[in-house]
Amino acid sequence: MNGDKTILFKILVLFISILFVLRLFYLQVYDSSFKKLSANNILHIETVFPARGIILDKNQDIVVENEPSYDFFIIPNQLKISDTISFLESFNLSSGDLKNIIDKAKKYSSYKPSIFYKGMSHYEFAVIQNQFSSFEGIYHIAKPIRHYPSPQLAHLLGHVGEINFNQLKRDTSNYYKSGDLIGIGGIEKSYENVLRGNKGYELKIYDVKGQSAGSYNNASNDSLVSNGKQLHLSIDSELQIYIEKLLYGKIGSVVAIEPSTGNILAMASSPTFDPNLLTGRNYSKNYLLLQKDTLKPIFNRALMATYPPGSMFKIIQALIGLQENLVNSEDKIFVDHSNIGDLAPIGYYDLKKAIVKSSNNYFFKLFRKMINRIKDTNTYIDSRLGLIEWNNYVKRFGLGSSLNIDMPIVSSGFIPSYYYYDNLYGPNRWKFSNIYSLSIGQGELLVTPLQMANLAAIIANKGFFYPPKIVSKIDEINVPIGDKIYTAIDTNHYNLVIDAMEEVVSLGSGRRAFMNYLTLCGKTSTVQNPHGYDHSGFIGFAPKEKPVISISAYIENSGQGGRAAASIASLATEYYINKNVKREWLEKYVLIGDFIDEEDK
Amino acid sequence: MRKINNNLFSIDPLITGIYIVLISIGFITIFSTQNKDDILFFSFSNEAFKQLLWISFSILMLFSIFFLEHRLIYNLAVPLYVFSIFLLVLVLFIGDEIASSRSWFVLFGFKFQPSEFSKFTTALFIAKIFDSYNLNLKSIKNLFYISSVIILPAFLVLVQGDFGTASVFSCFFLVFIRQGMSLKWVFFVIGFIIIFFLGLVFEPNVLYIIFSILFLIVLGLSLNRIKNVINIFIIYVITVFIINGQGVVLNQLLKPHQKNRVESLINPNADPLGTGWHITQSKIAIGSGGFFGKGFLNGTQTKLDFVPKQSTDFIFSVLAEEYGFVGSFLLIAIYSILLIRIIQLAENQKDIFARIFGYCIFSVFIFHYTVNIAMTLGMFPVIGIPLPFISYGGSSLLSFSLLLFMFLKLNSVKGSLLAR
Repeated sequence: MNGDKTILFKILVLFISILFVLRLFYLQVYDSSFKKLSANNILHIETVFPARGIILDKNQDIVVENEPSYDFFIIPNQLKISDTISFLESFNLSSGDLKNIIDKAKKYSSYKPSIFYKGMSHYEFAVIQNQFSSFEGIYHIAKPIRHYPSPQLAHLLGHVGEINFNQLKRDTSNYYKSGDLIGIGGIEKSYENVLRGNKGYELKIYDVKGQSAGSYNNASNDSLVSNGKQLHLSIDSELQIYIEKLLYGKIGSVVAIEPSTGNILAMASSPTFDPNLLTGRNYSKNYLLLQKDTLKPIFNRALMATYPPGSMFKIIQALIGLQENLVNSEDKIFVDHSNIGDLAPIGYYDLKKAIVKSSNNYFFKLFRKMINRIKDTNTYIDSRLGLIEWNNYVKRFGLGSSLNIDMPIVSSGFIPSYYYYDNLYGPNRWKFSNIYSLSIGQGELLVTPLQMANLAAIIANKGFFYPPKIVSKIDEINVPIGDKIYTAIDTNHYNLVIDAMEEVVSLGSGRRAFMNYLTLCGKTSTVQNPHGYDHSGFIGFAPKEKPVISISAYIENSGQGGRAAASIASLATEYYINKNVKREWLEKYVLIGDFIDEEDK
Repeated sequence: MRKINNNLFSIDPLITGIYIVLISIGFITIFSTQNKDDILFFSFSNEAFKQLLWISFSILMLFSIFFLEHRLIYNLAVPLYVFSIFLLVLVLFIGDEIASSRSWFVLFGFKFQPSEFSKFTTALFIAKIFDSYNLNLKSIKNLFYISSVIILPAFLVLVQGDFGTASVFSCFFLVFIRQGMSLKWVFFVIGFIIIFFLGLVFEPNVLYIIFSILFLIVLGLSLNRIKNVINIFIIYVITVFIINGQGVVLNQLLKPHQKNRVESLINPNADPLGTGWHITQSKIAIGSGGFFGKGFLNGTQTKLDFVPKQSTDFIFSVLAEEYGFVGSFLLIAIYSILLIRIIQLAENQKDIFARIFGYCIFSVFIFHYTVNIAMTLGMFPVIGIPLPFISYGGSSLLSFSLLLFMFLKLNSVKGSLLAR
């Protein structure tokens, strides 16, 4: 009976089962996307951040180190706060903030941690740490931030911050992710690839609640983190800090170079700031304040400010004159005040006296000889030929060049060429009378304090320099000293200018810089400035025999070069060589910083 | 006194073999779900260990069934049904509420669900009724009487809040089909269910227009017989009611989570972390198993708790993840053999009681099998009913085992039944 229905039921069973098998075939064999979805479910790539390399100075003192800063997370379904008031106080929150935080976190996930407080300093953390036992569901992770044990070198070091959108776009290596830290400015930027190390990646398994359940595949797919390398600077921190102290309250910069290597010993720009301001939680706020400051404390004057060289340029003019045989050590000429304003007395001058007394009219005449060599009867063409030759000489002193220093943003200054004047006046429409200001280092000439310190090093070396550099060792590997770069001046010509520079300090405009126990050779500049008081400039090196330091100083709006700049450079030189300063009066004079007197006003 | 065949070897060896295979698969799969760091095997928080106890208990019960006087089964049918109805009422008052259903008695840490028990007593009772009365199911009145036997316990279970178990009682209509109930009722019901689901996809107005046009066409074709016209008109009215009432059912009769389950079947991606979560994760588990599976204890979806209710409702997902297409295919094959074997045995019964009882257990098993696996495969709304012999749960294992082995007992003595 009802045999047909028996078949019906059997067909029903087979129909359902075949349907299941087809569906299973589709899900398990045909559609391969589920394997990936299952892996997505449980596998999460975790980034292991490398420790950024620390930075040491010449004497192995730590200049930049890492310090933990703390980010705090909340896991809503574990949250239990027994003492809400102390919790709110710990994180400086209002109860409304707390509610917002919890709501936001819950929206994301009740099981997974959401960040709610970024960048608590180690110090603040220590204060509230003992209260953590009463907060459940609050977790923290330590993240390294930069710390500067003795605040200095803010400009040279640069700082570290979160990578911004444009930097991310430019990153062709695809190394960076949003939120990563990157060196901004200074050494942190130019040595970013060395300092940052390489991120590691770990594949971690997570359960449905987002809790870690260990490594995937015994960590065999993980890539190991490699920490950043140590940088050894050529900077002498003690000298740097001393110079920063001398510069306090002034606007300007000092650069010191070891002539025998090109190593930068100090590089200070004033006004400066505590680099610790640009770490941690208040980074953005402080950066904005620094940026708004009218004295531009972020601006690295040592590399980026350009000034006319002023009288210190007469040394280059003298050397070119000697090399071109336009003058020799014996020649004496009568100099009056007919051509150009001058503070040197009228009288007979030889080259050495002209440098010591800084005679403007003497160098006016010398420069005219350089420019107008009577190689062409047309005075315009003649001037042009002279300028080309002069320009070649000057550039060999490293002027108009960034000097390939290992810093990201460097100004090259400006050495005018014939096409500059061609553009300005029209071809063959200019001659010596249009460009004579160059003779005394004024006019269109622009140099940086670094270039001037390098000039001092060239003179100290009698005719060559090593490309200046700041980093001397990466981990334990020495950064090689660059190849010597020679000027176009024969070595023997330097003796005259060096003797003259010794006399500048012992008898001339740089007398404040004189020490009877250390021979400092130098030259002052009083740089004319249309916007206010003259800038005070000085270059020098010491000791005269076997120089170990060459230095340049520019102090803005401080009048004569023999005052602020010469004093600061001299004190720094003495401090570097003798490790102490005997001339307390001079130190006091600089620290008080009242360099302008009646005659300047 | 007649000789009663109490020989154990007279029971059907195929079904017994399948039974042993299935509970073994069940135990191994439950073991897999319990293989977590913080659960010891020999503890009452380990479901695999508890299942082992339940399996032992079930086997003990089975042995006792074989030494039982088989006529007891006939005689107990009515009292057991009455008793189970009593328990269903009782549990409403003194039961414990677990997962929003007040359907559990808790005794010494073991939970017992009278609704599972009532499936079995209802099956017995239906068999008894067909055995005692010669019911002609062509008669709507008779159909109504016999349906009330099912609807009473189903209603009580529904009141407990357990929609899934209540829905199981609908499977007994399969028995009625076997007993001569017209298939047109089935087609009507299936048709109305389809209309209900169409309402999830289409706007009501679209459906009104479609069905009104259909109604007019069919009406035009059957104007010659007045009875047909009346029937078609009734069907049309019901259709309109369903289209109209679909929203009411979804929004007011169903609980929100049940409504979500129905809706997420249509579009599981609508809210993949909310209501679609169970279906999505189950499909990922099954799909990621691939052809050969991830291997015993290696199911990541299972181990890391992505598969919901993995030892009970979604145990098939666990099995499919760890043993892949091969394992799932084998399970489906075994189940198909079991079901077809039950039909064969039932059809061979000379005794009406035994035959009807056989069809009852066939109906219960095929319902659980279809709904449970279809749900894990994302082909059916999430309805919390277990996969017989595989899912963890003492009450269900016990009641499924009792059903199956009472039938095997009746089957083993079928020669002597006529002399009852």
